[in-house]
Amino acid sequence: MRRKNNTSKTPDQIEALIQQAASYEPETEAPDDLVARAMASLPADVPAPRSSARNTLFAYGACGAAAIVGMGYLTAVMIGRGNASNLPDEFGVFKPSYTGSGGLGGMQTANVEQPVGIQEQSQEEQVSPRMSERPAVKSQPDAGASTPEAPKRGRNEAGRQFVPRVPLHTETVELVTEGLSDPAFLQGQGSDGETMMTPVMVNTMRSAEKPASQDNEDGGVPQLDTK
Amino acid sequence: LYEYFPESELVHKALAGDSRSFAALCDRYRSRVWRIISSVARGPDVDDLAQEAIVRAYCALCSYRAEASFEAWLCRIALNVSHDYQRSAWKRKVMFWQDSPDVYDEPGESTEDEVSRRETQRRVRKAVASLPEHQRAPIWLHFFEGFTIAEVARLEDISESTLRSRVQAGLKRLQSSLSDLPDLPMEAVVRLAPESKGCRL
Repeated sequence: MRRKNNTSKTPDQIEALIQQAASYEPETEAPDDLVARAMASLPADVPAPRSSARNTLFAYGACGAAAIVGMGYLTAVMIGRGNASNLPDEFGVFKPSYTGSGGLGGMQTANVEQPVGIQEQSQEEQVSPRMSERPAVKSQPDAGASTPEAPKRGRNEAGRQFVPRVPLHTETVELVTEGLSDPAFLQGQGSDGETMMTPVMVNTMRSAEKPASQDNEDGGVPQLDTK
Repeated sequence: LYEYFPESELVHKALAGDSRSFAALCDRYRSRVWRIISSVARGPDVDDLAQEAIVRAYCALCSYRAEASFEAWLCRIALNVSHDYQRSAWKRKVMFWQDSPDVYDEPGESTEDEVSRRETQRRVRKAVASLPEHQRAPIWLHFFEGFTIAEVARLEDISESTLRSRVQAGLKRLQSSLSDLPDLPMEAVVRLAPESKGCRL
């Protein structure tokens, strides 16, 4: 009988013990049909290795395509939503346009379209060679314009007093002569019925005979009623 | 026909979805799988566990990176199956009462010495099996199955130095857990070392 000792063994002795324990052989040999029986016992729902890899690839592809579409949509939204007024006109002049592309201030305004009649008239007048032959067309109120609701001054739910933001609404009313713009006030009505005036810059048509200050009764500042 | 194909070609076909190539690969190394399973189980359990190891390997074939040899990868799966089998309470009880499946007979060895040696081997295997997985698998694959440190490192996807430190830590833990075993005679240590399948660290 070997003598037992409770002292710590050296690494060589440990390795020798392991190697002695590893030196065994199974009592029986592996049967020849082991693998065949194992493959036959595979469940029917076990996918082939290639198909699972293909599924993984398809999932990654779908996620990538969705991400590209989402980023494209966000980019389109952030770049001004394709508003044509952001582009220069035929004369290479940028028109003032604050027609509601969001913006940093978070102001929300409504997109305003010009009436079809005015647009057609403007195009005809642009091709006219002489300024004096143009008819004196006054700035007309935009029939399609709508003033967004003005927020009320008061207290919010938390009890804090807040100052409402006045939405800045600027429209291009006429395009007859390029580069002429006047300050104006856009008259609107708030949700509580009060009248609110919004400062705007408008493109105006001025006749060649009269100065702009004499064209309007209130000092050349056109009053627009958008109701 | 498949038994004449090189292993790399069979691996390539198996990864592409050819189940017959996979079966041919497993058929080459079925003795290895059988031996690993036989170290912890006996009787009909060995056959069941060996089949389970092959089925697990087939299901996990996508995770095979072909950096290590297919043989080492299959042995690793068989080792996991064996460990799961050993970990179950019922099998622990069976292993406790059953004799270890050793047929390692020393010429001229007395019955008393043979019983003592088998008990020692069983204790060592049990101690190795109780190591944490990151130490158990390298020690088993290196010392019991004879894979080199480089092969096991590629299989475990770690550096060789990391694997060596894990093996050393596992051996140190075995020193304390096997301290009550009788010392092997020096001639056995000297005799076993050159015949060992594993490489010395």
